[in-house]
Amino acid sequence: MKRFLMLTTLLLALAACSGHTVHRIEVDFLSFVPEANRSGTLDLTTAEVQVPDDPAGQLVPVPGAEALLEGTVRVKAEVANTGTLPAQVDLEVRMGPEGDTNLYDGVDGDLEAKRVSLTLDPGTTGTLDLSLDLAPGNPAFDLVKAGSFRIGARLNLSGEKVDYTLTQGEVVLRLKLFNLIPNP
Amino acid sequence: MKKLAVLLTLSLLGAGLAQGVRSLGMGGVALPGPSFAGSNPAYAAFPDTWGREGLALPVGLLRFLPAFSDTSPFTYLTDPNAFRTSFDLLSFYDQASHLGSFLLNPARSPDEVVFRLSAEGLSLTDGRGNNLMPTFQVGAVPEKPTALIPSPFLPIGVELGPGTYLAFGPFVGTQGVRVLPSPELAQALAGGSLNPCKASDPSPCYLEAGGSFASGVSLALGFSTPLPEVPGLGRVYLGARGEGFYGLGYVEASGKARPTFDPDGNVNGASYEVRYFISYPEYLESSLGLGGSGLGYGVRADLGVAVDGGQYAFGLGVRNLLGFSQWSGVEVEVKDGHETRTPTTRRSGFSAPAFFLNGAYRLPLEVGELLLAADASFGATAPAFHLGLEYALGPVALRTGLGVEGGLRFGLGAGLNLEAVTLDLALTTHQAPLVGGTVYGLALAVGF
Repeated sequence: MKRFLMLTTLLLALAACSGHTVHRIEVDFLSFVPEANRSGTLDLTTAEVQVPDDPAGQLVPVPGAEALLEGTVRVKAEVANTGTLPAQVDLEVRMGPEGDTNLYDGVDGDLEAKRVSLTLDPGTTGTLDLSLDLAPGNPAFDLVKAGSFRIGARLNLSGEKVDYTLTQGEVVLRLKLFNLIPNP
Repeated sequence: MKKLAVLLTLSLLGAGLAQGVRSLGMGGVALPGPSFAGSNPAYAAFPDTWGREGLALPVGLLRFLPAFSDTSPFTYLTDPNAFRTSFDLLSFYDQASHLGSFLLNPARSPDEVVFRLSAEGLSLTDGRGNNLMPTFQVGAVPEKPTALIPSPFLPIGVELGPGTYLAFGPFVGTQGVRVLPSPELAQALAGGSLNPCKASDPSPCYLEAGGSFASGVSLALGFSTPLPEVPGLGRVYLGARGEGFYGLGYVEASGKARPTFDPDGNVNGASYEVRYFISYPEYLESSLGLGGSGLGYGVRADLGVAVDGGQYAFGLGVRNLLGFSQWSGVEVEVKDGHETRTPTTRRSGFSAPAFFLNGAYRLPLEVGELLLAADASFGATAPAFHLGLEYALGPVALRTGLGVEGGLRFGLGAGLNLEAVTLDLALTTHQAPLVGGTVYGLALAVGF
């Protein structure tokens, strides 16, 4: 019975599918962050902010992840140094397995997928542009390929005061379902 | 798996050779005559002067040779890598359901399918920003069994006397396949917002797929006779046919998938409902083991009338004017992973008539002759309409036509009638399933 159902499901899933078809899944995870939480100020009292607030991050299920070809994680933030001293801002993307409850503690399999830094003089603005390519051999790729993963970002300030606005947060995955077909 | 593949291929084979090449060249129009006795029993005794043509060759089978890696599943055995990069299930389905034509550009799945998920909604596009609407329908999907079984494949006919015949043969075929989004899901996909899907719980957005498949052996007893000529009208033919079947397999299935939302209105998963009924003879239970063993049978009565007026001819056939069928098996409902199985007997209604009306007119010209023809099908079958014409000059004929049959189609054709052999060639078209667009094909018939 299960085989019959699986076969039916497979036939339906493949109805618009072929060896040349790539399924691209785009998840705009920034859109799930409330508008009010996408911008703010980092200063001496609040030197760090996590997006989303929950340290467990955002869960991203990926059906058919075994067929993953490649992917990209992209996070962008506009930063303005509104203080009187030079400031350094770090943007870090962290990923973890589905069961991880804190992406930032370095236990239960979470990892730093990528980090970028920006140094700003007082009164200047800049863009933190983080682009992470997910490709075979990359630990983050293995997390995605597990079928469900968690993702979160952290902004960190070394300095006096900066204003920030997150402008992009997106995961793009490319899958080829025909890769799931075994050899005869 | 192998059994299902064989059954699927056979069912498509039956559907794929349904029309003659002359008819395809005229846009699919049905010409009065014995070729369409299946749709109008009066045509069994009708003179074969209107719709005569050679034997249609299943040239579409050529596309199942491993050289055609986009349509041949056998490439999987000869070159698995080529299969993984080139095979297209939609192209295969398209070719298999049109075996009478070698498709020049079978329906092709999109190179990229993009699912974009954001808090505002979900969009499904082809990678170039065009919305992909998963809508597809072939035939009329019956909500219950019908005595209107598919035509037998390669039937054996026996003449029992003047106008009386017996026909026996296996049948196998889909009686309809449908994939359809609910209006709310269509609206959500077109607008890129999931708000229409949150209007109620469970969500009004769902994708529904359904279809039915029947196989068995049929036995038909028919009678057709000409009546005395009616002045001013022509010779009238009457026909009646009774057809019974013994079922070898019946599947009727439908499924719905709909999104589920958390209290904040975010998508948190999907729920599935699958319902299917399956029936097959008891002796297959040991090999299939699905618990669907039971008896399937049915009988129906068809009537028809046709007129041959020399310059013109027309007819009206009514299939399944009275009929009954029933299948015993098991009905299975799967909802969110929970399965319930109920032994069930599914029965048809006692009348679900399918009407078939067609006619043709010969118009002599100064040079050559023009043949105009039209047909319409309606009632308990998917509505269809065709219009075609043929210009004949000596042994050569040129044809064209158009029709509406699950989408617009047209045809171009040519015929060569030599003394020893006849050749018919047609350029056919049909709407590509799922992805839209026009698919072209070549069909060939030979007569001796």
